[in-house]
Amino acid sequence: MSQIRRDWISKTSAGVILGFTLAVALAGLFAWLAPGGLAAPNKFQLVMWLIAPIWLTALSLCFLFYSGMRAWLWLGGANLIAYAGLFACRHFFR
Amino acid sequence: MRSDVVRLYKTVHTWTGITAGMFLFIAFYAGAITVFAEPLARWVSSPASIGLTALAQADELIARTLAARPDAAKDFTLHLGETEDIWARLTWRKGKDDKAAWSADLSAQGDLRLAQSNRSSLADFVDNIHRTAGIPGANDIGETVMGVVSAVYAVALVSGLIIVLPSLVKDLFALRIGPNLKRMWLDAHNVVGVVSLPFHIVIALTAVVFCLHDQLYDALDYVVYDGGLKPIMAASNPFTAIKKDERPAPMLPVNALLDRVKAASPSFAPVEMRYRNAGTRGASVQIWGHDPRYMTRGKGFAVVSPVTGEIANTDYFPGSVGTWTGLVATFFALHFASFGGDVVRICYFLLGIAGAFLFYSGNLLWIESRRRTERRNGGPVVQKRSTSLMSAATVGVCLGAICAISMTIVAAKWLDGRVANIDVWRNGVYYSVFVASVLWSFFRGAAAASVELLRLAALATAAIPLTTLAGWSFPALGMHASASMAALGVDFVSLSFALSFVWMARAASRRAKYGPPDSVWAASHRSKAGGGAIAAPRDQLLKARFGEDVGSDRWWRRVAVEGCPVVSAIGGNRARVSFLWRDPEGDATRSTTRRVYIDICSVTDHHVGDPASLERIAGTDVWRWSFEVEADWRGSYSFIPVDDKHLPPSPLGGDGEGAMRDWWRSALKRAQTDPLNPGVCHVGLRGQKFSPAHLPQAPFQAAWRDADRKNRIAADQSRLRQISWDSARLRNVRRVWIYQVGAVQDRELPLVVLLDGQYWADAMPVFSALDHDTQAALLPPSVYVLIDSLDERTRTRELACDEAFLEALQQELLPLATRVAPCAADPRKTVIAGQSFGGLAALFAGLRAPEHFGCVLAQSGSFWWPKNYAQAESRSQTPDIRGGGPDVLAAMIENSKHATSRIRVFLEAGSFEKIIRPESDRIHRALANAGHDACYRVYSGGHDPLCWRGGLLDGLALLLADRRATSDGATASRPDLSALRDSNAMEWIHE
Repeated sequence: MSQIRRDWISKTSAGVILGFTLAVALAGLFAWLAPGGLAAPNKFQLVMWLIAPIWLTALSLCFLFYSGMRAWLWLGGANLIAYAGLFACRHFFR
Repeated sequence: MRSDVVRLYKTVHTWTGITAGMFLFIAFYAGAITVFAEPLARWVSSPASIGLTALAQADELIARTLAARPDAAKDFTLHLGETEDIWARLTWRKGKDDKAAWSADLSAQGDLRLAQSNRSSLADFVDNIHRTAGIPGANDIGETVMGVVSAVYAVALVSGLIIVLPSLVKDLFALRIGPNLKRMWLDAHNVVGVVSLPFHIVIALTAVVFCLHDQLYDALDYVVYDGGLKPIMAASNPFTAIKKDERPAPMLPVNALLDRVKAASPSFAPVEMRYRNAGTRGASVQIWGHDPRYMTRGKGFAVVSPVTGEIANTDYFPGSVGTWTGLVATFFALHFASFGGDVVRICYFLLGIAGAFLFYSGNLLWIESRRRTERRNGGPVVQKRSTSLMSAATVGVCLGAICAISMTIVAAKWLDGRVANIDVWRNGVYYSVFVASVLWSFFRGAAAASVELLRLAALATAAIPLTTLAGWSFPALGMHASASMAALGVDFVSLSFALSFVWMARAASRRAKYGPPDSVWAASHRSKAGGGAIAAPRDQLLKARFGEDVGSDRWWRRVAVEGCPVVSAIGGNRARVSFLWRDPEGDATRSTTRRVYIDICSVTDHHVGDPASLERIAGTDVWRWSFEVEADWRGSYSFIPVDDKHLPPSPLGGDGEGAMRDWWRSALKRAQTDPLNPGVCHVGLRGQKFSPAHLPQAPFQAAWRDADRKNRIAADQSRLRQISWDSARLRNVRRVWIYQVGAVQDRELPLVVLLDGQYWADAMPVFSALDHDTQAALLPPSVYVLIDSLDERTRTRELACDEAFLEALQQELLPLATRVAPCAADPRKTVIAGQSFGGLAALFAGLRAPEHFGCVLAQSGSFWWPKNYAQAESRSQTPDIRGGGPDVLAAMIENSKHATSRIRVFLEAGSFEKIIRPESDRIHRALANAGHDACYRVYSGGHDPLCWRGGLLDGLALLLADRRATSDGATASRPDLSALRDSNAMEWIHE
């Protein structure tokens, strides 16, 4: 079993950038899908609070990917799914 | 948990910890203080010049104030509390930029007193330091930076947890307090970290959100809300329930409003009422207060209409919060400790201080581990620049923040009411003390500065209760010494902190004086090598180095931390090496040990003369001995404690030499290694164990570093073959090890034959060192053949210029080896290497069969053969005598002048080898005269495998230098010889 590659720059950038965008997207999905919908009063505060834990979890664990390339691919993929969901919400719930 | 995952996360944890650590120290220390912001405010307050208006007269106060100052109606606050930090009943600001708040109160006679005061809050100042870690500029800059720092900190937490998980159960509470300081700090760091982990996770996440919420909202607005976030925020505003209406309307009395709120939630304790647009129909009152039953954002509030008395909004009112505001309020409460009363606040305070300890200790651990690495390698012990900078920065920033905060608190009390711009003064005091501390730390170095800054911190913090004392004792000073429990609590806590700073200062001072001198924490005059220090009397040296309490447990612990032998530079590139041995039976009255002999290879061993013994320091269990030597010496040593029955025979007397030899033989069986030596023991030539002594300037044996660590790397078994060589010619069977370093398909691999192979395979395995140097491109990939010498008799026969052995080697072994691992049959790429008798055999092989062995490596060779040692001694003392027996080697060298082939020879001898050194000189001259390529060096050491192991690799690198071919066949140039060693103290003799 080969060792995990270090790839500091690519992994860290994947965690910081893609982790953040993923967190925003997932928070957005929560905003749409959780009861109250997008415009519920004061819900936006919790939505904003959700971003940090998701982002920092992704950033902390992104070093476990086997290589920087994998980190970008997996996180990128997750981003695509999340944003697809977001667009779907926007389309269907408008 | 896989070890590579743990290693990966160790790097993550180290980097995130170091970058964020100092910021977080300040944030946590100031944050712990802000938990008790109210007591602090009460401590620093001076009584209002007018007494507070009674609450019963609140309505009258409001009415009269609005009549006198209509502009206050827009936004004023009625304070409901009675504590000494409340300076006025009613306050307002003219505009947002109005620095000085206005106040209104009714005097005892019923007059309306209006005043303007510059009272800005000390508690707010400390809170700002907490939010920005003191980064100047608008709060935005500081908070954004701290947001990033908090994100890094969150990653540090997860990585720290991952590292500690594998050994969590076993190691967590094993707080190993003992001489190993680094272990102790590490254990303490781990325990505090794991136990306070939930707290830290909460703080890290909440801090990221607090600091970066603007940016996060912007991102959300863009991505999710499509620009529509602002209207949603506006719609969520708790004041929307009250419509704007300019028409005048009377307001209900204060008590009525408070009753409404109390009816809604009986446990709610209102603290202040903020009126907006008072006197109109559209007026609102925001009633702030505490409710210990619920988790709130610091204070909760209800929005009430003072006109109708209706409660208009309870989104932030404890007990009736909406779903979303309630959840968010919980997060706030978890950060601010605004739940659970004083018990929780005290816990948060302690956790905050413990957190500061985590960051401080984390930096120290990084610094200590860098130092250990230098020490273990025996590398030059000059502090790396990065280590000293980091330690100076850590000390300056952390202790500077402590001093600055304490001074600011004291100054706030003294300057209150005496200066116009207290804001400016506070900033001035804080930043000047902080910057001065940091500069002081860089100027003085971490060691001295930590002691001095801790003393300053103690003084500054003690000044807090002393200020209170002064306020009591000298009322003329005009400082109000508040006697409330809260304020006294501040005094008490400050006093305990001041006392702990005193204790820490003393510990740091002790470390500076007695700790290891090569450490960052040692006073700088101790670590200067050779600074003209006179060789002090030996006892003085030990006392100065380790303390006056010679022989006590603590003294021995300090010795253990430093490690034996103890080396002190004495100028002129020489060092005094001291050996210490602790008598397990105690001092002279209890111990049966009469002498402790020390066997140092070629310095005090059986060749040299009378055995040397350590001396006891009277009245203690300390035995010591020292000698002076070149600063680049290295050698093996062991202790031989003897009691009355096993003393050596007296040097006089008939059978002197024989008896002495017998005594040595029996004594060596009783030899012990040095328990205080941090290095790994190694095995000597006769199978006994030795402790290694490497002086700091001895040439660095990088390749052996892994073997010297407790976790040895085993040889790669796929490349190591052990075969059995059954020699028809020699009529014996022996083991042969064949180790291949390098590509299999390359048929041009050089071949190295190593004599006394059993030592280099079993006792001092050379394989990992060969791998290391090959990987470092110092050696080319080669095949190494190690040949067992069987026993003493066979060895003496075969290695002493024995034709039969040489023939068997060429005709039987080499073909056997080639079948296992193919290598080139090129004499220029074939090395034969040996030490002592092996050195003689190697040179013999090279001279006799240069068509097979073109390269010879002979270390400490017994070149006087066939004479015996004693005859060699006599020859060395009268160097001009020729004749008296055949000089075999000289003859062979002479003959080789006429031959066509030239061999390459690497010779090495130890400066302490009395016979071998001049013999090697002689042979080297002869070889050079005969036109061979001879390289000779003398190392500072003896007949010692500890020295040979380094020279072996250096010699191989030199001999095989041109064979470090690149793939296209171009040859590399000869290596820069100075790159082979770190110090210039060795002699290189070229002809």
